[in-house]
Amino acid sequence: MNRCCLKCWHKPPDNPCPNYVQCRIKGPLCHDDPECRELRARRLNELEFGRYGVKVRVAIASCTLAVGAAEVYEAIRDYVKESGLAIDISVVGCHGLDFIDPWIEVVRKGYPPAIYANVSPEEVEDIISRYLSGDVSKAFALRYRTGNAKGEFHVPTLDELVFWRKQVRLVSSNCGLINPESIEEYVVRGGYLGLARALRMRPEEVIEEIKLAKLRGRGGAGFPTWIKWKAVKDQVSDVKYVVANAEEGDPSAFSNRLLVESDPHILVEGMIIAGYAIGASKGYVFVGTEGDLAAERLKKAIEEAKKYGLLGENILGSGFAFDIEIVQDAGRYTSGEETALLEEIEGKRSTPRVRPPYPVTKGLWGKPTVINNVETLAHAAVILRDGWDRYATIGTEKSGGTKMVSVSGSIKRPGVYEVPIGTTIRTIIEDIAGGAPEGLKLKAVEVGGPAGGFLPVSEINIPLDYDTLPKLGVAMGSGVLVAVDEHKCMVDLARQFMAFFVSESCGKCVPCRVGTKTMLSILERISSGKGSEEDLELLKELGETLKDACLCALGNGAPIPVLSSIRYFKEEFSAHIREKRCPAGICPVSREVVRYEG
Amino acid sequence: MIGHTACVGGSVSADIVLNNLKNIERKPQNLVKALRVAQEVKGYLPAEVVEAAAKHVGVPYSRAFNVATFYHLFSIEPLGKYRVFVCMGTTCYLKGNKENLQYLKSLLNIKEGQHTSSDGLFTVEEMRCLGCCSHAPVIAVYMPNGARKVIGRATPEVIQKLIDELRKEARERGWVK
Amino acid sequence: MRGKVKVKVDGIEVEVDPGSVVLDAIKKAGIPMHSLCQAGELYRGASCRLCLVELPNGKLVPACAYPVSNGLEVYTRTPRTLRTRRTTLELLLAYHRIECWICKRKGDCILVKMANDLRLEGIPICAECPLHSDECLLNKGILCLGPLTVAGCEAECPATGGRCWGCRGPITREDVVVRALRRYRELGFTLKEVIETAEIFWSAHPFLEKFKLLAEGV
Repeated sequence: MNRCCLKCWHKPPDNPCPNYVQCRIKGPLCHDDPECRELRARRLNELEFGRYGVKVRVAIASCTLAVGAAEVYEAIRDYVKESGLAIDISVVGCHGLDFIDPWIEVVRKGYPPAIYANVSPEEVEDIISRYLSGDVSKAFALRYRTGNAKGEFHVPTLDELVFWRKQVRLVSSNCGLINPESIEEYVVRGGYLGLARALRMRPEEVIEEIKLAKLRGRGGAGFPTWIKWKAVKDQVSDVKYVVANAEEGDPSAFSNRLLVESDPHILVEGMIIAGYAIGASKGYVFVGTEGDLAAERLKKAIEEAKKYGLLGENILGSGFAFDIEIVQDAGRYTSGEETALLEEIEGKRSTPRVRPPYPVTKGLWGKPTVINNVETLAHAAVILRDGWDRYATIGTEKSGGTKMVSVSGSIKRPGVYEVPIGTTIRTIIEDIAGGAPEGLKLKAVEVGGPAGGFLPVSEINIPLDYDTLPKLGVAMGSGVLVAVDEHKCMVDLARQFMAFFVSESCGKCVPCRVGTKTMLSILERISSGKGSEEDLELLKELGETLKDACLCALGNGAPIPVLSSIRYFKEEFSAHIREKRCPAGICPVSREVVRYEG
Repeated sequence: MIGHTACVGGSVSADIVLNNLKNIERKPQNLVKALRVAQEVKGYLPAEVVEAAAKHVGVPYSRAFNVATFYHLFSIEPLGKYRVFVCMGTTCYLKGNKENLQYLKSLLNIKEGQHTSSDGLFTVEEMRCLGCCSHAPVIAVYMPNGARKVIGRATPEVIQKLIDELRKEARERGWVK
Repeated sequence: MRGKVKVKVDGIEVEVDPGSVVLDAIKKAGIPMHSLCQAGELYRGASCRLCLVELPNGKLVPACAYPVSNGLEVYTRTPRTLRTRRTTLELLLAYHRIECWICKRKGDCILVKMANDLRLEGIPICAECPLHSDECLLNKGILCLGPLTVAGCEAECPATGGRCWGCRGPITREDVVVRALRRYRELGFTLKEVIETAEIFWSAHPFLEKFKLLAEGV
């Protein structure tokens, strides 16, 4: 199945065709043959609408599975089997609109593709039979209109919906649209074009392209990707490595998981490009403990890419060879730290290493290593596909492109949204995610994961980028936004964060190991109403020390939730300390008061 | 695609663990992988299993033990048939998993500081984040066959139902009376 | 042999071998430096974070592990390094079982030296006292307040044969006090006489009340 037609001579790895990818999309290129063209048209049609002209796409990803997508899938399968309808069922990833999970999409040639939200197994029959009779009025949204279906104009298209319109979907453009286990569907949508283009360039030109696109690491620190790549490229070594960090350790971060589960090939492509640019021949993907599904799909993607000659020896006739291995974490927050991650790949405890030497000079097994977040690598694939000029126009002056943000908490529309860097947090929280649910008011937004920090709602009018956020004492981190409503207690949250760090600290350096414990005991004292004003000063002093002195970024980030909540919500801490009451009624101090009054 | 490769559950001898380790290449870097497999097959990591894994990949027992006690997935103590993870990530905590955890522990009669129910069926642990924050609060169950079930929008009622189902399954399989 | 590397430590220029670490340069410049591993060939894992020095760009790096490079400038005693070092040492001590009166180091304590230098209180006189084991005044039945008194005087009185009267003030860390009081009792002193002796210098000290409470509990 890896040849486009009978005349195709692509035979990896001995005789690969350099134009293979382009040919799959625009072909046949090396000959003009009506038979081949027809074959191709038929194949494209089949990919879009299935073998019988009707296709049901069921979103299967960790998020949808948590709310019963497996049951919906089974219900559809049973219904199709029993009714004898000629319908293809296809698995797709998730497009990030998690508030409509579980969702399905029904497509039929000549009709508008319709997305159905919050589908229950019982509804399946009704949805499909109605759709087949030309009625889409029950749909949540349409991909586009055709004007043929009943009730079409009462249903919005995705582009008319604010949470879709305000996004710029570059890396997530395939999420929820293609079958993550089908390389065909990925290639048809422009996949591996970036790789094909990169392989025609010299490695330094690829790095230049990344530089001009102003791509910065999406893992949190925002380090310019090209500097990292160039540093490794300039190293003289027989072996170099590319490591993709898909261990999304930060609580409430789920954009990487969604990306890898929904479009594993974009990561594979990005890794091959990185490997080519730096001269590495081996890549590792480091998947988190919760990433079983991601690892499974990635494994399939790697196998398929090998079969198509896009991975392995002599990729597309360029002479470049690359291989990818998957390593799965055994569960530890520190595993997401870049040097700790290397330790775990080497089969040790995931504790951070002392830097320098940096991984770019001495990384995995002492060899130069590029470690990038999966989103960064996906962006690299997009840049090489579209060219830097288009990419650099999106985003801010200093950092180009988009960022996938995971929005959750007290919010109407939780999910993963891809927005240009520099979009204000208010736009994301209020316009895209719809603000607080009915009857609630937002108080704070946690920005950037546990090491990011809290911002009060009055401050969220700032752009989400790598340069502005640190000025307010928070960080971009992994692109997490958690909305906190008024009924939550900031002291309790700060305490919970510290408890998290205490249980996750690897214990290697003193400030993190002892400092987090000490901070936790102080916070527990405050939340139980036994705190004093001095405790706040002590917390600040300890916090500043941890920020400066810890061995790795995770330790440095540990006090930030506490520091930022003291900075912006001091009155809540004061209420616990002076008035011995918890305004939200959550901390143990207030329960006694409530019982006393009642 | 949905579901998982089945593994032998329950009390298996170290030989079976060794048998499963055969597919893993004998090199030190595979220590974590070997322990993962051993954990999945045996259900926990007693000393002899850790030692077998260490021997297999060629590292000292001390190092294998050091790794086995570091990661949250590994346990050197016996666990329940069902491993229930309660997500304590930010969103899940905010949305009520603290209460869910308390409820679950009281439902299974697990005392403070303990993790496994007295009938040996359930182990309740806190987890960092399962990445399903949109459907918070989330709990996950690791089935004896290695499959994982994630339950979103958990409430005490949902938990009650889940535990009842699992108990029923356990009775059917003869694990408890 | 390749050329030497020039490094500036607190403005003093020194030449060290390439491949050495900042701590070597600091030693060469003759600047006293806080560090636990400098004495022996201990594991240099940069874990204790006590030897942090500041770079001109404001970054704090561990001197024991940061490699030297030509033209490198480091500062060892900026307010930030001192503050961080002090807090880190405090954290380290918080988990240190302070029982200096039976400690084998016999007055040669690196922690108390660092603590004194960073003006950190909480280690008893015994850490500096050369009279250990059999020579300890307590063993001879002399009520020395060393175990309860803040170090920093280099144990002047015990070193010259006299007992400690507690003139430097009490240690306020409860677990240390409790352990010290247990020691007194083990050696046959009554806690009443310990308190009476302590009252000579501490009768108006805010900690004395707490001290009496602790004594009751022992």
